[in-house]
Amino acid sequence: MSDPEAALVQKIIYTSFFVPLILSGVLVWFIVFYQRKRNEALLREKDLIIKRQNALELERTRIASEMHDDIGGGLTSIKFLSQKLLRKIDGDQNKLQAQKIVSQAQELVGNMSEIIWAMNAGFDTVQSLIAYVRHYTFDLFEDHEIKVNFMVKGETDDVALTGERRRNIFLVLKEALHNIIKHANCGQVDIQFNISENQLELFIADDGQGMLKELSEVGNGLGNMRKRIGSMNGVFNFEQANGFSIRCTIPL
Amino acid sequence: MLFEVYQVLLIVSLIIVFFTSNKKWEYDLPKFKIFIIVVCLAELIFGKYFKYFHGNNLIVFNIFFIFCIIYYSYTFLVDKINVKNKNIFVVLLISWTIFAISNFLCIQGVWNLNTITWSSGIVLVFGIVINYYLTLLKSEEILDLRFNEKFILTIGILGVYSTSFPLIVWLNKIHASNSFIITTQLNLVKFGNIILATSYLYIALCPILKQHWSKK
Repeated sequence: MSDPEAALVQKIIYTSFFVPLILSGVLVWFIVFYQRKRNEALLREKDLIIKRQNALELERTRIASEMHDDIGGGLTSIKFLSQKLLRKIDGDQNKLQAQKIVSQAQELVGNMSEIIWAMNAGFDTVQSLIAYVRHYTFDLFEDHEIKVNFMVKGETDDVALTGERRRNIFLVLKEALHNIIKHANCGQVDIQFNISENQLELFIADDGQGMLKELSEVGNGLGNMRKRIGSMNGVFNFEQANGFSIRCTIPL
Repeated sequence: MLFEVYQVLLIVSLIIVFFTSNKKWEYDLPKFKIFIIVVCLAELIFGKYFKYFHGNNLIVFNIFFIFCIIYYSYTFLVDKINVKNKNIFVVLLISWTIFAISNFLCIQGVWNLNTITWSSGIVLVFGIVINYYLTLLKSEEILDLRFNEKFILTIGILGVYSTSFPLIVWLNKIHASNSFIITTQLNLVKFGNIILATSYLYIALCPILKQHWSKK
């Protein structure tokens, strides 16, 4: 091979080496540059979402606080005034109507308290849900001869749960407990919360007569429960064996 | 010289990998520790052994190349980030492996450079790397590429294969007899190897760097 020919081949070799190397370098640089820009944009977006969420939470807490002070206070006054009225008035017809006002006011105060609890962003944790549910359950069964076993398994500290999800879970439990009181004729109720890293499981079981006979009556309630759990991408199951039990699994 | 620069880099990587194996640090690259041991065995022991006793170590590097292509492809195809057209690449990889083994045993032979296997293998890995990049670009996650071991590996792969691909495919055929040109080619391929070995070293250091960075 002559010298000029060898020099040309060497040139070709170097070109074949450096051109792909430079092209690869440019490709890598482009990926890194694009990724960095996108990371910045994503971080900005995330920051904006957090700011919006914080603002929303503040607003929710403010509305909850105002509802508690204004509407809640007013309803409680109506409840006490109607109770006072009930004690004073004569006549069966009037008493019946006053009694209705007392019941309605009591129910409204209860519902209002639930809504305020659900709205207040300060309670957006699994721990708060369990505390509220425990309090509600023992209050509800106080006047009935039903033993309540309330169990919590797993770590509940700092597990976040939005107000909407808390309210949905609470309403499912409320419906189930009211069904037990109305239809189960049982002596014991087991309520169990199992919290794992990525899911919350709620298990409610009674040792009563079951609900198959009244399924048509409670069917709507079960449908509502399924719907509520489904809206949280959860799974709802019920079983009729030695009583009646429901199991809800909700992703966290 | 007893060892080339890239071989020294491989030895350092191996030492770091052994050092990290006593700790709780894990690599994102699947079976990276085993891979680096195999790389060192091929480059530092078997390659040298065959060169010294048989005068030709291409048998080692033909097998080693097939192993590397399978490992690189496997690394990206088992990624949590789903590489697009994954099934197509799996089929291509299996077909290529069968072809490469046949070529090694029957067509081009064990003692010759399996140029068809090498060039087609490089094209396959490039396809997977480009697909991986496309997946990265479309990803909605915030990714830190500084400590992304797969991304670092792609730099090594691109470095070594993009530079050796043209040399393997056609330059090898033209002037295989000219010793000066062969030396030039070999030096350039060694440079590509340094890029790849540096990427291995950086990957070996990644868990330490990640921990150090997270402390900051």
